[in-house]
Amino acid sequence: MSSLAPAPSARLRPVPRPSAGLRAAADAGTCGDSASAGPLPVKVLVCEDDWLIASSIENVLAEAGFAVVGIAADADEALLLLRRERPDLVLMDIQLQNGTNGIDLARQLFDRFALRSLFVSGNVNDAARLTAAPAQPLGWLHKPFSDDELAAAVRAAAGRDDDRH
Amino acid sequence: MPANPDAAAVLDALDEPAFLLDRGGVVRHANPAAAQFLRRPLATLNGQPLAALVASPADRLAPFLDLCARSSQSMVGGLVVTDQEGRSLSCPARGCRIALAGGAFTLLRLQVGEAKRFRALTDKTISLNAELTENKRIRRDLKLALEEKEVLLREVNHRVKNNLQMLQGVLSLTERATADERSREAVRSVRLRVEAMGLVQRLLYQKDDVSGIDGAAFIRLLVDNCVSAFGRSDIAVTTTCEPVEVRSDTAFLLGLAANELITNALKYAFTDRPAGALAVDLTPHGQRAGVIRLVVADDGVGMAADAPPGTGLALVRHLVRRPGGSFSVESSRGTRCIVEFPI
Repeated sequence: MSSLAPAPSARLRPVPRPSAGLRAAADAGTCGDSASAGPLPVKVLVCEDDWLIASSIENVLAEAGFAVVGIAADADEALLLLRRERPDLVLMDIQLQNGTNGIDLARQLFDRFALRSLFVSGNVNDAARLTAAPAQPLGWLHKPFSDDELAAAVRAAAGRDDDRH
Repeated sequence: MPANPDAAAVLDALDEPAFLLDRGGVVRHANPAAAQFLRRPLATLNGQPLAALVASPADRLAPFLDLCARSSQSMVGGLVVTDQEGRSLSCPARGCRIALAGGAFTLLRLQVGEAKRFRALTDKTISLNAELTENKRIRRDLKLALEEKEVLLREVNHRVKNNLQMLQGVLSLTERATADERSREAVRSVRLRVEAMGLVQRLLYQKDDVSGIDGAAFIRLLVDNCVSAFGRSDIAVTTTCEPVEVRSDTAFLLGLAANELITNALKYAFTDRPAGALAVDLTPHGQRAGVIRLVVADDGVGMAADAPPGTGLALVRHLVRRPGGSFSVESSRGTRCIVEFPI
């Protein structure tokens, strides 16, 4: 486990809300905030083993109106959060902690829970796309990405997932 | 059965090793050249089966001798003998049946001169084979080394992109957590610069060729990122990019310069107005050959001639100091910044 990563229990937290210092989600004009009246926000499980990147993703998505139901650094944490929080989609890094391969995990989540993933990686190639195909990926986001690219990709992924259902 | 003396005399006069064999393959007469060739006393050869004197496999020698014994025409074959160093040496041989006073014999002649040539050829073949084997080993080692380097390069590239993502994340978190407007603005400027470099890095490694990137795609993504960061949807932005491949080292400079000029326009050009137009053009040639030209033009408030240069423009001036680079600003109705870099 990276020295930057907090203890698993600290990461396994329920739906976070934007911190006081953040702009209101409504300002971002995206999916709307779950605290206000309107449709429930899309629940996103973030599988990312780098705490700094995960925290940034969490803030950006919260600001864009998504509900980040938790951050998992490996397969065990992801399965625990999934059973507890029932996310709508997963933002999945390909290299996770404790030997977890994000593609394998995504395939497992799709096979067992029909849950689809938006993959995030700094190293996307044809082999990875082919291996991930059975998990019916919601998309691929290349690192390094900007805040806006992240929000747009998750928004598009949420739309694609809706189309399927 | 002793060989015919006349025939024996003829054989003895030959320079090449020769034998008279009976139907059983036993040597009935061997000439001095044969004794010398086999490195055995001449007297010990007569009465010995030829199979005991040579190293030819029995399943090859017997059929050859049988063929010779039945043919009055010279049959071509070979014997294997052991040389002084203990190495097996193939020696071409010719044999045929001859009728003598004492009966039918097989006359077998070894073509030693051919064998020597054959030896040289064999040695050369062995040497070439060894060379080929060594070359194969070197090629295999090089292939493995190359594969290892490719894996290492992918890993390093992955780390670089991950670290850039982490840096962008830190800056993004810092920007969001900074209450003071000017401080937040400063952090955002740094974040956009890092994102511009990250974008180059991402585009470079999205394809196999890391020597350059698609300049048009790069500038479009960069413009989108800057405009989005400032939330100025009221600005009409047009991006015109001609197809151009930009070298990786130039791409970083171009990205940083474009980021500064676009950011500058979005920050200062439209401060007193609710709307405006921003045009970003990239062309693969400037006024001189071998340069790429970026023009960022707005219809905003313009730039005062005596305005002190900000950090952004100072950075652009610094970036174009490399040979072939140039930077100029025209300000009449709005501002028009032109940057050129060598391709």
